[in-house]
Amino acid sequence: MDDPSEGIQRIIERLQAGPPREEDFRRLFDLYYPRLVHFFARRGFPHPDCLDLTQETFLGIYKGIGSFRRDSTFETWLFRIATNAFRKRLRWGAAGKREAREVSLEAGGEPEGERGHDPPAPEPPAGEDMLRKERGRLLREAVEKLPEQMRRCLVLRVYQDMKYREIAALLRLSPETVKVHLFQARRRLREDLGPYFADAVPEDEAET
Amino acid sequence: MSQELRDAMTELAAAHGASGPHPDPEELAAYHAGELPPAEEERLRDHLVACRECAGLLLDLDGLADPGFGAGTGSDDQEVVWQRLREEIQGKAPVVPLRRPARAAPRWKPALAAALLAATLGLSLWVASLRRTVEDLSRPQLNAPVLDLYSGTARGAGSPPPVFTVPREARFFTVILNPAGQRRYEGYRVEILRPDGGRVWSGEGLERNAFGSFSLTLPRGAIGPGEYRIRLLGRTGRDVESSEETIEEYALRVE
Repeated sequence: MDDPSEGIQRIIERLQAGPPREEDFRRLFDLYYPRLVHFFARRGFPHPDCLDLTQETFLGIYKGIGSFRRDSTFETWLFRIATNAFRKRLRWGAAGKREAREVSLEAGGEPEGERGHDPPAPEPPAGEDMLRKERGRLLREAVEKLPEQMRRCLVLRVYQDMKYREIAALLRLSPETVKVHLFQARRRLREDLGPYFADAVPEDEAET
Repeated sequence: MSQELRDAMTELAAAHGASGPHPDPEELAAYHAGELPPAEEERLRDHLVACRECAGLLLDLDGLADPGFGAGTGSDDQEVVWQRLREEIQGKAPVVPLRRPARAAPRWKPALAAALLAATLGLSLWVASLRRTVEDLSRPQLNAPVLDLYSGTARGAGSPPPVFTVPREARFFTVILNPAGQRRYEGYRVEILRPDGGRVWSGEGLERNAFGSFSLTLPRGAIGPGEYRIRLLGRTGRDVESSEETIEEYALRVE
């Protein structure tokens, strides 16, 4: 059986030698279409936008294949084109939002400023709020004191809900190292903060 | 996971994430390939910890190389997107290959270019020289030298030829030819000859003035220094083809 990467290599060579043959480009399209649609879907775009962005990325490949120098993988080059397309779309979206004025249907088109405000949510008692803020500060200070790589592992795990292997890929560590860092981070935090914070730093949940 | 810890992390991430803008795709790819300098790598690592968008992008860089990434996604629309893409591509210029084979230039092209260059330079020099000459000739000259010339016959046998010195700064000089005889001709012509008989200059259409002489103004450049004979000729008939006869010859030396 042919090595798929070798097959892609040959397709790219033929496309670069030009003039590009439709069947070669179609083969490239079939190979990367699902990956690109998924790539854009994971960025949170609605499905029609994902299709548009995928088309735009393939058009970028078609127009720029001559400039692909093969000093990186084709996927890395593809990633650059797709990320640029995605970021461009985000900028357009941001510009569109700035230009549009939000109008509430319920308020019959009245500007937001002229409507009455919703009643504010009940605030916690002053003492309770102060206590919560103080605990938060102590927690942050304790995390800041952790060694750099340990802290990064913990933030990625807790804040970004990442799996060990994802943290490992992102920080270019082994999954075992990540596991050790996380274990030690929790132990240090519990030691630093004392039993009063035991419920704030629970044991790590087992990965599925 | 405790909400309290999550909130603390969110605040920490926000504090660290404010460290700079999103890295561009090239930087992300370089980080992924381990090609960034250590300081840049650390900066980018801190950004990734705080930025969900960039962290997600970087993880999906591996996904794009995985044939299982997004398997079964949007297969219903695949043909529609292909057709749209195909239509758009058909209006585009063909892809330029990375290394287009260079065509050897024909050998005659450099030779032709050199010849054209030489011709252009030659023409430029010639035009410049002509322009200088025209400018010289266009300038008026005060006190241009005038010489009355008489033939040896008129001055008596054995008389030395008159010496006519044209100053270096003179651009023109005038000679007055005084023929001895009074016979009228249908037309007059003058020749300036070297001692060996070679003709240096010739002019037609001379008119005899009221004193029976001819005046002739010449540019100094027309004849250089040396001994010359000025021969005055007369045409016997009206026809241009008619025979000519020498009326007079004058000796002249130009220094």
